[in-house]
Amino acid sequence: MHLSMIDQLSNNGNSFFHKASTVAKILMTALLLSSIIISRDIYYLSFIILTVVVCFTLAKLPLREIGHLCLIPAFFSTLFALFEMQQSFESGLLIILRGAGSALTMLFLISTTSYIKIFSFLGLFIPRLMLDLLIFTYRSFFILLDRVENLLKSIRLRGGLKPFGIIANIRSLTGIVAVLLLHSFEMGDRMYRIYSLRGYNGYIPIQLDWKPLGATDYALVAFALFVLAGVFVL
Amino acid sequence: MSHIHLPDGVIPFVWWIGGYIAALLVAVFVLRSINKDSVRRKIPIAAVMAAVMLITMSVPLGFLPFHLNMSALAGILMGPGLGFVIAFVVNLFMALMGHGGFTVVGLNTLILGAEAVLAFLIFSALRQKFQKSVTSGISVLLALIVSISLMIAVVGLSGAIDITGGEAFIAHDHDHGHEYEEKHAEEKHEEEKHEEGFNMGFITLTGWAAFLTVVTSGILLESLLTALIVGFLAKVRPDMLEPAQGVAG
Repeated sequence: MHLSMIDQLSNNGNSFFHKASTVAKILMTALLLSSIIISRDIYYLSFIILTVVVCFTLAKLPLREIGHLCLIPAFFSTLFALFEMQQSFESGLLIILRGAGSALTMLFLISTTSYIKIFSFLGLFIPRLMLDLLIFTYRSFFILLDRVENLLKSIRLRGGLKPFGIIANIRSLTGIVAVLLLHSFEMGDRMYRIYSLRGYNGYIPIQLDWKPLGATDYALVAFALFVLAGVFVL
Repeated sequence: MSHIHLPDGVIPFVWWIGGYIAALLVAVFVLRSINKDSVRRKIPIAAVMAAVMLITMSVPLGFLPFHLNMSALAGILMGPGLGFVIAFVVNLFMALMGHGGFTVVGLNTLILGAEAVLAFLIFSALRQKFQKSVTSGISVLLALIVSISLMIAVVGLSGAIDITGGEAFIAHDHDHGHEYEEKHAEEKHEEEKHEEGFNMGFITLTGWAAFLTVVTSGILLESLLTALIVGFLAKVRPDMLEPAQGVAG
């Protein structure tokens, strides 16, 4: 997981994509995703992916560091694409491009928009308690990630992880997860007490920033609409 | 470990939209049918459980091509309702990170949620009869078998993959799929005509045998790890394994 790097990029980025309205960026992502899902033309699909790559460059995002994250869905797509390639090579390639393209589009959204803004938009459709759960999960993730890194370091230093010692590794892994669970439950309790002191009553107030759309926002949505129209035309 | 690792555009529209609606309806039902005060206290704990799941999901298990997901453990520790909601949150996070398609979040939630609910129900039913570690191992084992069957059923029934034939195909286009089926049927007929007794099931058997080997290893490993974790928790913090109350747990 590269959540911390993505979080840093989305909050500290200074490009016009970062400054654009959340609603416009989510609309643009939805339209691009639809184009990727609907498109059956390899060349056009490649063009859409290329435009997303250009967007990465324009947003000054490190494509090499983020782009490799789309290799996971591309890998899983390959498994299904291999079956499809029995039918034709093109349809197999289509599956891989769709997997990589949609992952890249999602990564572009979260690298240019902070999670809190995305959650505030999702809050329009999901229950309040679930929104709270999303926010708490996001916060806990970073804290627990630090703990896991420390735990792994100390276990390695004590020789707990061996390259070919499957049983020893399973025992160590169990220990890591069990200790992590203990820490996390205690942390959850503490977090609740702290939030209660600050007035938490089952509702973390976050609001979607409904600022009027500017020229950049309209341009982003128009561009994505244009891409989607291309799917039907070609 | 049952998790549809399908990219976007593979599962037909009706299925993934249906999955989203069903998953959201269940989550809304769970969150509305519970005492808000008791759940409010559990939200931060449920969140850290979701974070633990996210962390364990991102760790590959060496030579085995899968990762743990611990939904069953979440169900046992947090109860069936919150277990389901946690599954939704985890899937949403994974999709935002590009790990798995965004369109399959609903279906994945239904599958992982079913795993959490089943593990909780089996654990609750057997907890007085065996040791807690053994009970949790059995619960996870059975829950995983059911959820993997559900996953295969969803992937097969949606037409994403032909699970009945030896060769699978991705049905991104239904008409295309029918053409392929017809072509496939013709080829099969020709082969049967020329080579009577040829075992067409050989490829199927190989495919399924390979699939089942990987899945069985995964199920056994996750059951074993969960049993060991629950055994540890039973010694150190037995209160964490107390039966959850109500729908949410």
